[in-house]
Amino acid sequence: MAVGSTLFAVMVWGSIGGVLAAFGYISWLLVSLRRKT
Amino acid sequence: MVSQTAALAATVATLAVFMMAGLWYARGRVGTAEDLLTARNSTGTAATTATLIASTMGAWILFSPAEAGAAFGGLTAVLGYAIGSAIPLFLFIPVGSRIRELMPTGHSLTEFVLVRFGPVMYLLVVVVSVFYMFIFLAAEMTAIAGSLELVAGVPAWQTATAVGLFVLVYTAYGGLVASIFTDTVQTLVILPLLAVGFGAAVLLLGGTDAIYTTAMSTDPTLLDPGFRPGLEFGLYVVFAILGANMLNQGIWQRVYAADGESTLQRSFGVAALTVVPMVLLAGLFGVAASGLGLVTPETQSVAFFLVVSEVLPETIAFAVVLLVVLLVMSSADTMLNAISSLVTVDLARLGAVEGEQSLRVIGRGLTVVVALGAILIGAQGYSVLQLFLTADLLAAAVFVPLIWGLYSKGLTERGALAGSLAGLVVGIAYFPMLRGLLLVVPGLGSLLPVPAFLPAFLGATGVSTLVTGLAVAVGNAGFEFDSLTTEIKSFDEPTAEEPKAAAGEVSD
Repeated sequence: MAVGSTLFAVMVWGSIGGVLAAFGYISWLLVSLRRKT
Repeated sequence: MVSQTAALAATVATLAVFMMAGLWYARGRVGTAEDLLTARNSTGTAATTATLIASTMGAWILFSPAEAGAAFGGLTAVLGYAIGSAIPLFLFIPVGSRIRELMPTGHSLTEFVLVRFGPVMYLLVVVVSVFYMFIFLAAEMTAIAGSLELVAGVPAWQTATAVGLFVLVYTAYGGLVASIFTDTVQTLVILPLLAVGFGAAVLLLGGTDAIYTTAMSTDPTLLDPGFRPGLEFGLYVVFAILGANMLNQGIWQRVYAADGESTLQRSFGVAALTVVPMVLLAGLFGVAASGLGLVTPETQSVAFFLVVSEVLPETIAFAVVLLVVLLVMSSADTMLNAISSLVTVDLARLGAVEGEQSLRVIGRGLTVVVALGAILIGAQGYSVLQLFLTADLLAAAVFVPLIWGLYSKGLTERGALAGSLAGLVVGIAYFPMLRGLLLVVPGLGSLLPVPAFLPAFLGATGVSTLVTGLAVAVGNAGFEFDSLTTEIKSFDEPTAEEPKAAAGEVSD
């Protein structure tokens, strides 16, 4: 139960982190391109 | 519940802002039919990644994965859905590179099919492709209409009409250039909104421990990784999504819109990695809804919104409304432009339309027709998952010969057709929603197998692959891939040797 619960928490918060990481990556690309041009 | 007026006002305001943004960006950038339909070699990694995420992740992610989690096999089904959503994007990395190499001035998969195989296979692919994309569009309209009705009581026809018309205006005017630009901005709003909204929702539901404990006490199979129905769903949904995406002209347009090989590879890779957590999060709400005892057989298709409207405060529900509007806009504009692009390009190739001006008029006219059709169907309230599965089955039977034909010289049109039709027959025989078509054949009813989704999808793709393989083994077409370069030309350039440089510059 404890292992399952921990894995579930990792899945949920890891997914939220993954979505935010994608946002960060795209934003970073856009900002670096703006700086170059 | 969010008030009807507030929800409708927020929806219309969001639609208006993005419509204006699309019109503003496209102004002066859509000079030719190529800009309207292809935006060739014009987008960098950020814009390509963002537009892929926005285009493929429609409002359906708030319906189908949650429905799968609530009713089709819990966590395992959701995981299958998430991984299945990423696989086609990964597959587009080699396949997209290959098609750009074979036909650098191409526009669509159907163009390739016409030259590579011939008119009969081409017709089959056009029908299945347009059918799938129209279903996608109609499902998006159904999704937004249904969700606003649930969360705020807005009549379905009002939502479908508002969304359809606003998206239509900027897509008809700005084409792919406007679609990619608005997609980029929408992704930058969708991703944080999704993460923060879902994070807040998890905390308001008592945290992951509370959700886990409630689900386990209500129905332990919801979180059982070995639950057989969940594993089966997770498996067949992979084939369903794979086939459908391979016939999605919206993605093929973006293969050509990417400004180079490395952009294509990085963008499709990052988009694939991003859609996994997006689908997973949405699907887990279905598991939560089921665990909280909110789901009945009649309401399983709106499991996500049951949690939103019955458990979460109005502020989170309001954020969800905005999220749904953005998700719908970003995929509806893609599908609208993709369908009109596919048909316009094909009309041009078949010689039915001549001249740059006529192509643009036809492209825009078709966008209007398709949008009106989608609005009408969207207001009817059909099941989003069932609509998708039906279109997916047809695509699952057809896509293998197309991909095979990109690499094999030996596959003939007859072989490709035999593979597709054999897959279709097997798939339909098992498919619960379509097998009635075969019952009209006298004496066939007693021979049909027990209906089930898993053998339907595995059968459609597996038999199609097997028959295509046999056809390649015995075939001797000796197709010359070089002919693709010479026969498929840009609308702007008379020669295929010098692909036109980007004019649309949907830059990062």
